[in-house]
This record gives sequence, structure tokens and C-alpha cells, in this order.
Amino acid sequence: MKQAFVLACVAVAAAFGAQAQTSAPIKAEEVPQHKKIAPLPPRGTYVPVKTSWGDPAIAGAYNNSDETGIPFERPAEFAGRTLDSFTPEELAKITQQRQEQTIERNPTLSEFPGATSPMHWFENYFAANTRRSSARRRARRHAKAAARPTHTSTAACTTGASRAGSQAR
Amino acid sequence: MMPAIYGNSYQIMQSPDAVTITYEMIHDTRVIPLDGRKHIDSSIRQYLGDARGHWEGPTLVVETTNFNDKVPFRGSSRDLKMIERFTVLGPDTLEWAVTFDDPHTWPQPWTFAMNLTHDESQPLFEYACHEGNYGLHNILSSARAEEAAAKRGKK
Repeated sequence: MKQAFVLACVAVAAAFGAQAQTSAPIKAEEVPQHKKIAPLPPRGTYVPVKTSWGDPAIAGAYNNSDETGIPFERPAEFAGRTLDSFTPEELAKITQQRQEQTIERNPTLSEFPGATSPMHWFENYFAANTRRSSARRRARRHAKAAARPTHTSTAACTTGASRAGSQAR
Repeated sequence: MMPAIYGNSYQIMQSPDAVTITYEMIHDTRVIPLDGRKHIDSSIRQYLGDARGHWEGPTLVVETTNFNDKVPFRGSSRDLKMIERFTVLGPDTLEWAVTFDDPHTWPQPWTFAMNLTHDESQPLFEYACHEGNYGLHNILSSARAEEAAAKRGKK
């Protein structure tokens, strides 16, 4: 049901594709950095904060957008390897490749009307999904858009209808 | 909790008797009792199944059964038993490991795991399909067009 709903939204967006304007893939320098999470201690050694009744405290907001794009099956090049065998440099390189593959898979991203895939849908596009960063980036793109003479009134409507904290789909 | 193009935030709440997980994607909420109660009757089937949880040291173990057959995960059957283990690995990291046990679909149980990042700057947003409000605009525009056509037809 979820997939059908998402596909329905994509289909609606695709219906506008016939009048798509030219869109440019995001540039590497526009991709925000990963969230700086605290380094993980050796497995099994971390003592979590406890609730007042003594259970490990896990309440809170979580996100795993940065886990998208991981192959469901182990690629042949990683046969026989475990996570512990990868160096931080190797992991960083793999993550960068995954990001580049995501960009390559979505060449029609745009915030402009008619695009098949509005860029702000793609929270997995940004390695750590820092929405505040994407908001700043949207602001920059909107400023650029305002300077373009080819915008229609519809375009102005769309770019002005920023999510403003909600997820427009 | 499998990440998609968007909607990958989760809100976990907990009490002594239950843990709830609310998903940004379409706003499902799972209520996971921790009080040791039995699963509901096998004749009752639900989209999200029937979850029961307990703590094993630092790990929350959640067993979910009673799925219906309308939303299979990669071909799973209604007899799927899903075991999730949520383990705090660090101040910002909660490991989510999932084991799928469904002899109708896979010859043996299998497991994947990924980390969830604790980030209060990414709370749940409303899941709403109102892209640029085109839908509302088009609905109203169509209705006005139909009304105009009806008026013309009456003349």
C-alpha cells in the first residue's frame, strides 16, 4: 500500500513531465556533509542512559535516510568481508560512490514545475538528510530561479510554495 | 523502517509498559507492549502485524506476527515472524537488526541490520500529498468547469 501510494504520487508528478524544463543534477559541493555523530565505542561497551524506571532510554527522533542505496545483496567485490574489515577511508569512498550513483539515477531532479522529480522529495539525496541544510540550499536555488526570465507564474507559485517545514508530496 | 527517497524519520516513545514507533512515511504507529502479554489470536491479521517486546539487557527485542497477506515484504507470507533488535550502540546511534523467519518464503531465517541516527533536528513532518497545491487547485478548477458546463447545458 505504501509503495502504491508513493508510486501514485510519482505518477502524478510524471504527468507534468511533458512540459519539463531543463534541470541540472545537484553538484557535489551542494551535498551537505554527514551529520557528525559521536564516534561509536567498541561494541558491547557503551552503557546507554537509563529511563527513570531503569530501561535503556531510546525515546527520540531517528532517521536513516543516509542508509538508502545500500545494495540488498552483498556485491561480489565485498565477498567474504565483514564491516570490521573496512577502513574508514574505504567506507567513506563507498559512501561517496553511493551518493554519486543516487545522483546518476535521478537526472531529472528539479524544483521547477514540470520536472518529473522535485528535488526536495529526495531526502536520500543528501547523505545525512540535514533538512536545515537543504532549506538553505532551496533558498539559494529560489534566489537563482527568481533571476531567470523564463519562469512562468506557475513557476513562481511553486517555488514560493516551499514546504516551510512540511513535506509536500 | 527501510529507508526510501523520503519519509525516513521515526519517533520512538517509551513507557514501562510499551514502546511506540511512529513512522513519518504515511504515519503508521506501532504500539509494542512490553508487559508480557500473549500475541492476539492467530485468526486476527493486521497490516503491521502484532508486536510484542521485551528487554534483553541493552537491547529491545520485538517479535511481530499475525501479518495479513496484503503487504508482503519481498514475497513473505502471512506466517512471517519478524524479530527486531534495537540496540543502543552510542549516544547518537541505535542499531536496528531484523530477522525474517518465514519457511514458506525462505529456506532459513535471514537478518539484516542498519543504524538509525538519533537526530532531534529531524522530527516527523506531516505526510501530505499536496505538491505545490496543484491537486487542490486542479480539483477546484475542475469543479468550476463542471459547474460551468452544467449551466451551459441548462440553457
